Amino acid sequence: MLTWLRERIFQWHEGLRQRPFWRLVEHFGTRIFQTGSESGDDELDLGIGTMFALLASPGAFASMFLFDKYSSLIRFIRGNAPFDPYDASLPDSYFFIVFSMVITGAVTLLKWDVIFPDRRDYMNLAPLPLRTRSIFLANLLAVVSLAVLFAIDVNAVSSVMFPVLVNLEHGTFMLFLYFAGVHMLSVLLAGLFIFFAMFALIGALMLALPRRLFRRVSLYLRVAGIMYLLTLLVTSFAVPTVLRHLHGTIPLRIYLLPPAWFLAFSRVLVGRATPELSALARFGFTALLMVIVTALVLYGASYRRHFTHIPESTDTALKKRFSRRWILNPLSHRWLLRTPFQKACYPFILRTLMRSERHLLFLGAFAGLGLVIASQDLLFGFSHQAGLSSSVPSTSLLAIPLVLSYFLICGLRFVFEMPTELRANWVHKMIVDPEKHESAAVSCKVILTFIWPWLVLIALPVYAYYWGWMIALEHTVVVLLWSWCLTGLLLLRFRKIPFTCSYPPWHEYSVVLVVFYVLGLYFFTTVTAGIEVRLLPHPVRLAIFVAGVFIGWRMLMKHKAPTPFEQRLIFEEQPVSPVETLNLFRS
Amino acid sequence: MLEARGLTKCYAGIPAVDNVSFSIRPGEILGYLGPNGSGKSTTVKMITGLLEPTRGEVLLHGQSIKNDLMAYKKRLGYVPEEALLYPYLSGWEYLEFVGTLRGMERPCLKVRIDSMLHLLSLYPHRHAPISAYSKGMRQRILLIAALMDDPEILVFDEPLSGLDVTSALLFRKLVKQLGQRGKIIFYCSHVLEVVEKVCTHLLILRQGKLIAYESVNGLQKITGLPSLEDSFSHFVEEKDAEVLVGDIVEAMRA
Repeated sequence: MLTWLRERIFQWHEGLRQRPFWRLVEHFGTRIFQTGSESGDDELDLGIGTMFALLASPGAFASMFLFDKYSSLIRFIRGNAPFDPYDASLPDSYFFIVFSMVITGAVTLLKWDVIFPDRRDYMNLAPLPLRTRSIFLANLLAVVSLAVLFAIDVNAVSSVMFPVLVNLEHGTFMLFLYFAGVHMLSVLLAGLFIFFAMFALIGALMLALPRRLFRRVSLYLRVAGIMYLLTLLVTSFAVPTVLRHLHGTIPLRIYLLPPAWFLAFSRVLVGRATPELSALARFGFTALLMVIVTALVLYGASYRRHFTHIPESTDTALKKRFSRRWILNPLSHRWLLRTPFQKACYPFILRTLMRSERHLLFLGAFAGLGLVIASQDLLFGFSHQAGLSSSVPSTSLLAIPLVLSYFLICGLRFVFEMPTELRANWVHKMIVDPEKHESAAVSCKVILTFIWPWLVLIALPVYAYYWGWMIALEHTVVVLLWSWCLTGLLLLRFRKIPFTCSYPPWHEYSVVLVVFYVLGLYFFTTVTAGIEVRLLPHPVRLAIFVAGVFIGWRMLMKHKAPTPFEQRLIFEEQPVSPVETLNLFRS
Repeated sequence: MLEARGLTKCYAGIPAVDNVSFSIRPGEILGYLGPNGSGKSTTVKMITGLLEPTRGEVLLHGQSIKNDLMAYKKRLGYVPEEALLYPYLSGWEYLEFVGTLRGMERPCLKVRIDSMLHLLSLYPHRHAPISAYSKGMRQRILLIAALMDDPEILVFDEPLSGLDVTSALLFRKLVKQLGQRGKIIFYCSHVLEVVEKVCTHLLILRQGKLIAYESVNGLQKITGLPSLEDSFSHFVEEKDAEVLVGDIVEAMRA
């Protein structure tokens, strides 16, 4: 029976594949996962299965963490009073809705470039006997199907586990099924809303802007999109409480929060909605329909403009790039970049970084996370008037430049490991002496270029305005030095010219890396700011402390300095060896 | 007969191709020549229906190709200048994909792909991803994709790019035989030696304008020069090559 069924499915699938339209749908679905360079060696290709598994796993973990909240045994041990699980599930439902939106939104932002057919598609498909309409519909069908599939995958585990937990004690099986259905529907609609909203945004931009401007603007928008998604995630802590106590007129800020609409929608369906939440649900449903219609209309309109004009754009592609000569060039060449290696590599790194969309996007994600955390610190700092009026800034306010510096340094260090056009690195292999290079030094200078100028030009005057020049100067010096030390530590044993080496085996130590970064954030920002609060009124003590840390850092760097062999420049990462030698004869 | 009448394409009002007319009868091979930026690729895109002319039209057997573009594309095989293939597909998968989209019957498609892969020495590598293919291998895949549906019209845009000597020789003979079998062939190339040996007619373009359109022998008679290379230089070179070379060597020392 099973074999017969399998054969029938296989035959049906093969039959479908032989029809040009469905073959196109399959093609557009596949290419979303299979983008990248010709060689494919500068792409981190995860594959469809791994990607789906990765996307589904956070939902499973998040559900597991809720076990102690809904378990009656644990509540009994804690001595908690009996509680209503449906009422208590409100913040968790909100979190899962936000989570669905964030993951679906992040995937859409990452795959932003391949949602529309590109030049490669045009060159391969346009000469074939296919109608433009067929290509358009096939692409649309593939993209929408994938969006639904993503939304289901992201919420698959939580849609079972979360309702199980909520209905663990009091519910019947039918109640569980109903709650699970409502939960699945609300998270799915939330995911689809964010997808179609971004789809509409891409369509509108493509329709309104010239191609070159679209590419430039889309990058900034994607970074802004990441920041928006991170902000949505942060709202999980505060918004549920506001929604629970919503009475009378609904504030505008709640109307502007899409997760609140879908939470209200789920509350209406489980029969726990107040009149305010019912109004919010109606608003959300209307917004969802409008976004879907707008996205489809804009997609259709922009498709023709974009796809059918590809050959014209390639014919006129040879345009002059605006020459940006650095005003400080002679000065930097004399004082900042002293050797030919540095003079060549510093502009190479900066230009590659600023012109590679993928690298800028990842850096933007790091910077965005930093901005979200820094803005929370800012809000917290300014909500306490004592922080402003006292002679020394509060810990939160002192932490702001530290947080931003930390994320920028880590982001830059991260993107340095991402290769671009690996086949072009032959020029470095040919010319650079692998024994005598200054890749760490030049990389350090690039990183500090992104940190020091705004510290001096923006942070210093702002702190001086509120707390006087002395405090501002002390704090700025600390942040300058700390950023230098952190950069030095992160570049210890760095022996690559950024962007020219294959990917390191991140997956083998990614968990350690994340723990390291989180701990680093705590020490770099919270601990430093805490110490500063105590030492800023005593400049001498602060100077002694800073000098002590600096000397310690220098000694560490000297102790951990690489041997000439470890210093040798590499262009290809070696996989981690399964066998380690003791290396007893190392001099 | 494939005919171009007063083909003109303007970008921002500037003509990339300006009032170019020619015709190719079945069995004829038209060599399309010109220096870089002369408008060759733009013409190719108009001939293949990828680009709409600003003025003029392309006709097949007296009918504008715009009347039934799908039917025209079904009769057209095209080898583009740039081998932009899907790197994650294997050579076999790519050809099967193209064949399916062309509406070829499954059994016929499989037989043709396999036999052509064999004949062009790609069969052992048919399951390797295209990302691992050399430039010449990619070019051969493009060639198979263009030929496998036995099209009536063939448009080659720099087809020898990346091919080794043996493959290039094979290709040259193939084009000649396809011409003898009555195909309409439009051959755009920089390799003058091949164009001279393969094509029946030549068209030279300079800055988008047609400056010569003759049979190969006719062109040599007009210029009175012994080879096509000399004739081509006579039409398109603005500065004496010897002087230019001298200037380059001087610039190296500057």
